Amino acid sequence: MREQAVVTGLGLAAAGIDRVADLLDALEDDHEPEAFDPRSRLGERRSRYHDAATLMALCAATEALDGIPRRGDDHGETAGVVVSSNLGNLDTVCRVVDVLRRRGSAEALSPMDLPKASSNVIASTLAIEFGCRGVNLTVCNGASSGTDALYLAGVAIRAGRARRVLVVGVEASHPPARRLLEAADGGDGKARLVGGAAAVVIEAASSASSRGARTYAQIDAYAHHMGKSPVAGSIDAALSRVGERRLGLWIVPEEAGSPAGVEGSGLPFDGGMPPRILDLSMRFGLLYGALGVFQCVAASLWLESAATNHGHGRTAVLTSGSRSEGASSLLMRVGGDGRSQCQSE
Amino acid sequence: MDDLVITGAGVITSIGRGRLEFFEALCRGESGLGPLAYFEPRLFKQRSAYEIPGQTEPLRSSRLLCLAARQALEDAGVEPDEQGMVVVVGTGLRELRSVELWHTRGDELRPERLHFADALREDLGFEGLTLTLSNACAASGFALGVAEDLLELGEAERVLVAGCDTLTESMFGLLDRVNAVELPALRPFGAPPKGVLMGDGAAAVLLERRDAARARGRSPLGVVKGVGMSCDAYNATAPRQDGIVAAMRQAQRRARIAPADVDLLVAHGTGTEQNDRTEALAIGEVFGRRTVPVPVTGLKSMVGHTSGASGLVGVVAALEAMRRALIPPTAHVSALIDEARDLDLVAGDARAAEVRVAQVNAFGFGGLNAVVILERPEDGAGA
Repeated sequence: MREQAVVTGLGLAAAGIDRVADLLDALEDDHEPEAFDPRSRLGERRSRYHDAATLMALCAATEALDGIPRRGDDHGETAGVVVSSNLGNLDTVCRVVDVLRRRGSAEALSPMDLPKASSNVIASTLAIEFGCRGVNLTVCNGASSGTDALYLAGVAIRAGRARRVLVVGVEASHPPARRLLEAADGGDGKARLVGGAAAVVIEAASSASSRGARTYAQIDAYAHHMGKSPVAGSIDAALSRVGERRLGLWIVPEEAGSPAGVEGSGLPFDGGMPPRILDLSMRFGLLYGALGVFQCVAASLWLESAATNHGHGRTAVLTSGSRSEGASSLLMRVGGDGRSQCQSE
Repeated sequence: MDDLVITGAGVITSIGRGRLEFFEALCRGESGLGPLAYFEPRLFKQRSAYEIPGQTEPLRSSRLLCLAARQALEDAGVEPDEQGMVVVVGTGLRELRSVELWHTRGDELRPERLHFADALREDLGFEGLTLTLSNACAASGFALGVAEDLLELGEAERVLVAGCDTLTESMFGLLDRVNAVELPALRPFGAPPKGVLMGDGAAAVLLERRDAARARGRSPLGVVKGVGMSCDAYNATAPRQDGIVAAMRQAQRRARIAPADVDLLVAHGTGTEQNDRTEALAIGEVFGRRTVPVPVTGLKSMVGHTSGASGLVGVVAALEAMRRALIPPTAHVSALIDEARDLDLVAGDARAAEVRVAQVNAFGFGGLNAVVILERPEDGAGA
């Protein structure tokens, strides 16, 4: 019997949202996306030496792991880290080559930049900070990267490699990141990157239940699809994998434009109700490699609240990706505590 | 669970391309070290590296990856558009060299070119899922571990596992900053330890279940018995002995073998004081009880440190060593560091030896450790 992967911790580093539990309310606000300052949360001492993406990842991870015991059999060698970030260390790379040119010698470089020249610096910093000695992956996979990272965390749990995985999606809004993304968008200013991080703790269901953990939702199926209609194709494939035909919530990818118009895909309804559609870009701007994990945080909160309020939504699908690279969809459902509460009614 | 087997392999490094040419160059002890081909030498103490010269920039990593991937698929007799195939790419530096050229020279760069799905689609016509893992110098070892899990869970029919990297000016410059002097060569476990030198390279293997290979009538090049993946969770750059020991033991446990079963250890061996001392001590701790020491070789003496590709470069070499009963030497090393004195380092000439089980180490910044255990197949393809 393979382990089921469930969500037991959530965290965010996003401006204007002090507690992750406030996310769904914040999505109703009419706030423009704004930048998050990790130093104000971490303090100067903890902020020293790390790059902007790592600092935001630390903020989100600290919140997600709050209250989760970090000793015993379910931590250490069986605790993994999976990070998704596409632009994380581009600031260091560009700054180092600038210094080389300006000063004309490698002797002018700072050895402190050495670990940051490697893109896995965020994941290894998280592992050091939180004592995670298990599998450690940095997924740099483009627009679908966050969703793919969640999938790989689930794979690590189902394969028995990890009992618990900290998943963090993060993009920082430094000048090279903005320049690269905004140029790709045709420079019309629509693509705004303010940066942010989201963190999710994914755990083996047996671990979560043995410690009586708060369980938000379970992670059920993943699919990637390329071709003519990648978005609809990936949703359909993810639902089909577990024979699910109802959809309570759909969180749309960044390239969707107007959510209602997404390929006019015949999304399945849940009990006759059309699915609720969420677009995180209104509140957060471009999240790129962080998007999937932000979506997972929103879906987890939504599913937990649906479970306890007996709302109609029992399923949520997160979709990310791009036209050229295809789309990834992840199906999440009410699970763990939520499910048992409902069954006991 | 059915065994996972490698049915095709490809490789390109500074000393040769294709698994046969590459292995022969290794056994001759060739060196791929040459004058810096892509950077302005006056910026650095170090004026040489193990590069693959003569390519156009940008997007060199993508091109090396596609070359190795194509070789592996042809070797395995698999079409790139085959259903149910997933590609997992391990890379330390992605297309960060192209970011540098975009930033300093204004070369065109689209964000989706930082990783590799686009390149594989354009070059090979591959339209399935590509996962790019940026796991420092252990990246392709981790890619193989993820591939193992995907196949065992039935998430894929077959996985093309690849590693690729080309030098970035930022990483080369920062290593130049910490190396005390210009190095004449990379000398794994050599005394005195001096430092690491980077190299370009890519490698790829096709991994599938044994029954699937048999059904296609393919003889395996090797069996992947198990991959250990761990993180020291200790230091941003320095390795740690107990973390490396734990990763080696995890791999051997997953492979259901004892240290005494290993006939060849392809070491990470980077030539740095920190890696070589720590790795040698860790090998001593894991293999110390053997009556006959395990033969160890360090390939980076010939191809340099190919960063995220190095794990799979070692795997391709180990596959050939098993098939030909021949261990390539650690070239250009005479005196050894104290910690390596008890190692049976294969130095000088290639050594004829039966290799039934091989272990490949790959470690990276942030304390990342990937250890691969390979076995010679009973029904293997002839040399």
